[in-house]
Amino acid sequence: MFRSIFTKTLYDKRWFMLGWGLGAVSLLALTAAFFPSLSGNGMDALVKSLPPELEGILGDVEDWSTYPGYLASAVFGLRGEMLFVPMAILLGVGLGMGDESNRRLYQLLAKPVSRRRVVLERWLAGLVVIAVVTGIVYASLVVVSPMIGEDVPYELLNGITVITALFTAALFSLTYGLGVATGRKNLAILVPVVWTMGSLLVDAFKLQIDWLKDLEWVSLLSYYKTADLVHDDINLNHVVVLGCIALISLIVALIAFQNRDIHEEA
Amino acid sequence: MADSIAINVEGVSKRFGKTLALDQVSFQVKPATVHGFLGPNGAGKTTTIKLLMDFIRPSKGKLEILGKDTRANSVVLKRRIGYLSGDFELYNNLTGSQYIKYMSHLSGVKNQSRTLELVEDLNAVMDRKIGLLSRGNKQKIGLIAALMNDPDILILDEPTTGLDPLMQQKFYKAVRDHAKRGKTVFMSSHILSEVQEVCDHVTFMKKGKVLETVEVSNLLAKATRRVVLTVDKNVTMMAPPKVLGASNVSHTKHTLSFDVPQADRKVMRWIAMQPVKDVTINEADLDSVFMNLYEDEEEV
Repeated sequence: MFRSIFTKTLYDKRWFMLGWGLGAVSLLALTAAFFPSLSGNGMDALVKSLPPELEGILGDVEDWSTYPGYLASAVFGLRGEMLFVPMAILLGVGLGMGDESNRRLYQLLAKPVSRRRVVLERWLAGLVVIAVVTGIVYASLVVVSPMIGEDVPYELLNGITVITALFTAALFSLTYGLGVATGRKNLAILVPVVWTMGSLLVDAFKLQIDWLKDLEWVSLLSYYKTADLVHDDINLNHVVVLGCIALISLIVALIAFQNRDIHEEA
Repeated sequence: MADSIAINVEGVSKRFGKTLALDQVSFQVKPATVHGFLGPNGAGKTTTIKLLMDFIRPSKGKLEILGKDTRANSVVLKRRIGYLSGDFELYNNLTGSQYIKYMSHLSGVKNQSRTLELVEDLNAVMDRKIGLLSRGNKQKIGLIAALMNDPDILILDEPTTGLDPLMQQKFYKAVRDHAKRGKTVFMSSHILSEVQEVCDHVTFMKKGKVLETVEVSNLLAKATRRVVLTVDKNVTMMAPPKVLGASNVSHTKHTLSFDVPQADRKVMRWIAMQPVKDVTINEADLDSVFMNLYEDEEEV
């Protein structure tokens, strides 16, 4: 595990992976497991009682009465953001700023490793952490679905897993990139938090406030629409946008870190 | 740059916002020597070392190690450099062995014989988590990591900070042994005895500027000796004559103390004529030189 920065980073993050993996399974798989007790008349009554304006937050509530719809909207649509947004930000700050703020980066950069290598290997390790956590969630749903008497909706689950991993990777890369590029931990946390909160507000009120619809493209969450996957394939535009956020963040980090001073107090 | 220069710092300035931390710093370090870098806190020692290590970038000037620009050749140079700071931080979740293994892989060190030799010499604790080790034991691991690739240039930033005297002596021995192998050591410090004990040359820094670079032996030759004469009760002693070149003369009931440029035959003959009970002549040290250079610095 100590052969490279990449493997050493994975070793350091082993408890993070396990913790978030178990947390995600507890939240998402258990929520899915509650579907049988909610389906049927209870769910129909609930769906009928909800005002259509809530669609901005909950997705198409009509879909909730089916297991795939429930998975896409109630499980991932609501709780996915709650789980993967903080995970992405914490992972980004930890990998981007951890060693610098603890003054351990000096010992690392005293060895014959380029700054680019440090940035790239840690970013790749971050992506692996995200893949492992989303993989654990995928596996848990594959196990839970038959246990509650439902078929595994593989196609939907594949789509949800891919877009969740991409969304988390984009937000992680943004946080990581800002931290590495500027050396400012506060900025690295503030920007993704403000963007995500702003996106939540846009999503929540776009059906009530007309001009917010025009701002939908700015909303990060508008590229993470798991509810749409019940009826449609993955939106390639969303994949491209999330991929671009991740790659541009990485490129900015690589260039800026190459040229800046290591901070005494990051 | 000539081959006879291991480290070349030329007209280097470093600005942090409005603060000018280094102002036109220039000095050179000869190969196969131990070069001290001395100054009070805030003199710019650590900033200069961070520039040499390419952790930060100069606002102006040129830094070269082994004839290569430190920034353009950062990775190549670090194969030949060892670095240790007194206030360094390690990965507390790793054991000493795991940390050294990691550093070996990053440094491309394949032959572990030097590492094993260092572990034995320093009696380092390798099987416990670094977070559980004392400062001294952590420092041993840091020193092993710095020396494992048998570096041509060893750069140390106040390396004995927080070490007990026994550990300090072990540390000095390791540094001297390294220099004996024909390697160069560049070491910052604010401890005079440390510089005096291990360094061949010393560069004095003050408020971001170089005051002078000198050979320690020359400096000590110029330094004064403190003579302390102890006499019996009720014996009055006269002050030393001017011809001895004595200064800082002071009396107590039983002692007469003064500084002389050299404890030569003239001084000894005068002492022999005095009714003394005991004589102490302290070796020349850097303290007096240092105090003269930094007399307006409160921190010294």
